[in-house]
Amino acid sequence: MQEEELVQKAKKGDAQAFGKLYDLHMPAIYRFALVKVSNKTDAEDITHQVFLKAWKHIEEYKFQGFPFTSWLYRIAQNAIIDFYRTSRTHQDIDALPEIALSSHLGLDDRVDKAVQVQLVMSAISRLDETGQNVLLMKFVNELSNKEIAEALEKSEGAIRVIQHRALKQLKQLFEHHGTDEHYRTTKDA
Amino acid sequence: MEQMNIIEQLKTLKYIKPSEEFAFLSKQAILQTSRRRAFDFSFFFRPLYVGGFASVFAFLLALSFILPKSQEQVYASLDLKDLTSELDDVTISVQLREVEYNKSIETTIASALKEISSDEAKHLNPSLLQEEKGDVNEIDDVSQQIDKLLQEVLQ
Repeated sequence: MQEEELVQKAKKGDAQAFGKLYDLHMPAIYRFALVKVSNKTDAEDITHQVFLKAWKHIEEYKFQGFPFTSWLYRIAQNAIIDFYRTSRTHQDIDALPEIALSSHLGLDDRVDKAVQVQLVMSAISRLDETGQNVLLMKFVNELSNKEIAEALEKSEGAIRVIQHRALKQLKQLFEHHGTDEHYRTTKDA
Repeated sequence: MEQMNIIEQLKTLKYIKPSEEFAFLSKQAILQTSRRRAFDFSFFFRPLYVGGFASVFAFLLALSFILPKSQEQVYASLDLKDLTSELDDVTISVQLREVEYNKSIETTIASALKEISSDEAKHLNPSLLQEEKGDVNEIDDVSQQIDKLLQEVLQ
């Protein structure tokens, strides 16, 4: 079933259709929230709030070349902004490896990937807000430039510029902190 | 570090997954939440209802042409300004009656006092009253005689 059809059904109160939309988008929104707040519990709270709000207000969403994904990311961004307004910023990256990785990986792979995830999150958290958003949406959650532009309320051209700048900054961060070297050492070990 | 390598590193974040327990519980909780629904105006545009509403509207429209006067009266009787002015009229008429009554009473009392104080009020003269009393006593004597005669007849 097409996403637009699911949205139309959900707008009419079809909980099953919204459940499918939830299954489709929840992992990406959770990932986005976790990287932004660096805490499993907070990320879960934010993700829950995002979908609860989406379910309650889905009638307000109108498909006019404006993807549903972008609408969800807008809600997520607002939820994250509210989170930082009401609570102290706290990084909990150390706790990530054991709590946030796919259970489909073997134990060795999980440890290996956990270290990589930790390093990348540490680096990405040093980027500015918009740079983080663009890289996460583009390379982690695989949104198109159009979807990112809609979600961040910017032009596609602006998104390309931000993406280029953020990648450059990330490269400098990796080189400066020797992340690549650390990554290779960890992998070899 | 090459750009492609950085992108590959970024993609490792895809391994982040929510716990299945959270996914299940959160989904259940959300879907059990009642949704605020906007009023569905399409309800009014169903063919059956459109016909019904049109009929009612036509009927009301016809009534407004047939009974314009009675409607005006009804509305006039419910108009607050009209009601207030009507109430004022009632109060004024009551007050006017009271004024008229007081005026007539005053005239009567004045004329009575005038009669008492003047000599022209012969019916209040003491000697005249005495004479009248004498007449009444004479009438009483006649009456007593008649009563006596009647009793004798009856016996």
